[in-house]
Amino acid sequence: MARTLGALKGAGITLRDLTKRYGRVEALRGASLEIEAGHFVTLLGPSGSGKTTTLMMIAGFVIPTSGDILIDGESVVGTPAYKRNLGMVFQHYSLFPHMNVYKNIAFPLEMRRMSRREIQSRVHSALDLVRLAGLEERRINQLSGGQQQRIALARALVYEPSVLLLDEPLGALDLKLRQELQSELLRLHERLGVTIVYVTHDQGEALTMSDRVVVMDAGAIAQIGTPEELYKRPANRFVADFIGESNFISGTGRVQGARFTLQTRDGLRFVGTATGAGSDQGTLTAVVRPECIVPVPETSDLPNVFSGEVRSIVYLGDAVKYEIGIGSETTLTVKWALRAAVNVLQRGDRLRVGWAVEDMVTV
Amino acid sequence: MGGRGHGDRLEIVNTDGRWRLRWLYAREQAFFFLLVTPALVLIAVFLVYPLWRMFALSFGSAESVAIDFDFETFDQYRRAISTRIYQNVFLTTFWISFLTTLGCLVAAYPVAYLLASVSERTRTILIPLIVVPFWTSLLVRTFAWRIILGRNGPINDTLEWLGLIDQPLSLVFNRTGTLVGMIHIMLPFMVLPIYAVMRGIPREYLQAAENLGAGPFNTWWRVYLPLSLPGVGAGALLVFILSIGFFITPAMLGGARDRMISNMIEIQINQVNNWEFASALAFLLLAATLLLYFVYARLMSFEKLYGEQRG
Repeated sequence: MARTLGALKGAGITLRDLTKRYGRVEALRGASLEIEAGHFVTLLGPSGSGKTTTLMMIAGFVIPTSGDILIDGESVVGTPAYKRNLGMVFQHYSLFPHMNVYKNIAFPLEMRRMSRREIQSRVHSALDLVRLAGLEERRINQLSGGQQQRIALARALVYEPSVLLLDEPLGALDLKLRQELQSELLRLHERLGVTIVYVTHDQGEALTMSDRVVVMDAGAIAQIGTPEELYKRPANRFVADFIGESNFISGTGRVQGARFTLQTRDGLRFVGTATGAGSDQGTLTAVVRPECIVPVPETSDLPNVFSGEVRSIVYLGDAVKYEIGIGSETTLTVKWALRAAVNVLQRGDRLRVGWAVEDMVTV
Repeated sequence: MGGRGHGDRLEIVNTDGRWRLRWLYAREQAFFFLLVTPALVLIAVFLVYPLWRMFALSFGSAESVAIDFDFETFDQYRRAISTRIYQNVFLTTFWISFLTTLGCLVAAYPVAYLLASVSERTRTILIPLIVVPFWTSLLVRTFAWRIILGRNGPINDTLEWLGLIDQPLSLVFNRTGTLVGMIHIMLPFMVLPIYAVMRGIPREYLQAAENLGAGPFNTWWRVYLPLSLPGVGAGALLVFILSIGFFITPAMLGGARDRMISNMIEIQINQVNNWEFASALAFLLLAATLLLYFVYARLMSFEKLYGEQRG
């Protein structure tokens, strides 16, 4: 009887001032990061942000120019990739095309010189784990994209590594399958307790799956935080722009304690929460999320209330997005969920909108 | 008929259009056929017809002047297959070809690997080094080996000067000379197919193997080598087939015991003047080549099983 793969002990990962230079190009500059054992951490950023370079350095395929990588407290910079004992799923799965499913999953076990019996039992439990028992004899090109993905996961987990690295593993799949595999991954993470480092450029994926998200921009870490922190308190304009949709409002302003006031060139006044970022020199940029802006009645105690006119409408199915002009130079994007009771507004309709102090933060 | 509906009229237009399409299609086909005609004529006149003539000739006998297509007798084939000398020549041919293929494989695999793994810039320097000899006359290259391997050639001179030998080694006009020359000339035919396949092996596979715990040797042995085998197969087939029909090099660098089928055919035509027998030998060679090709095609269908290299 095949035993089940037990709960693994995740390992903590520490990056210390990690830098990678290719000639004069800095792919990563001075990244420091603490990944807690058993966490699901996502490296999020556009292409060229250094997220894949970081992952490849943890895996051992890219040698850092300077800095250190510690896994469970021990430096692994001098350890070749094949001795690091990390699980990894590559972008294109990288299942060996000349081996069948069984041989693929058995490969890492054979490299570890396990007995035939042990290999057999482990391969079967790994296939059970990804719910693909019975596919042992299949050739790789006989599998669908989703199946290949699961087999790649099984192969990466069969030797019970304490860290699982995933390099945009769902990029090639269609939306439905992606969502299915996302929840599959979360299920596996919960069950196995392995530390997961996940690389993606898809902010939605990062927000829904991670304990912590590391936003990267142009070779540096822009912000580290929980999905909620990133969304509600973006550290800078890049993060606010990259994660979710944002209304950026700039003008001259003043910070008083935890609050700021801001006046735009077309004479609108805003009140928001100062979060420390970008609040110097009298010029301020603040951000407010489209769904935080609500329609308000004549009398309202919200500090930011403006009347405006609907300029454009984008129907999203479960929601509607409006562009609402509230000043000669200021347009807000708002996004409201559709309910039966709510009528879709028409172009040219006038209305009053507003939001709370907490919903507007400086970046 | 009066009162035709809208639908009827549409149908008429449709049939009309269909005929027009068919006519356009036929005209296009005719045009393409016209384009390949010169090539077809060339092949028919200079390949198919002479081959057919030779085929007919191989069934003739020395007594009758076999210009007519008689297919009189199997005598020539019987003689080629049952005579000891020719059996031996066939065996020698296959043996030399096999050794040439093996030698090329051993020499070419590392070269192909080097080509596939160096940077783009280094590659633009290395590729011509492989290809330029292709453009040099075969005869010149073979003559060069006569000098290099000769009794007073640079190799023997150097070895004597180093005191490693007292008497010059005989490196030419024997099996050694034949093999050295043939391996040298066949090398690009082995390097290029292997290199082409190696370039198509994604780096990710090797990284995956490493990540899964395979050291450099196992990564090569379990992943890279199997994935490069289609190139090895193609190169080996190419070299072997070219080798069994090889003529100049064994004639110029080999000894009496290194005569290959092509040399026998030449003797039959130029010295013995037995065209019938020469034709029979040539067809036996052709048959062997075709047989090999089909065996290879069957074996290589595992390439299809690999499917495309990426998901």
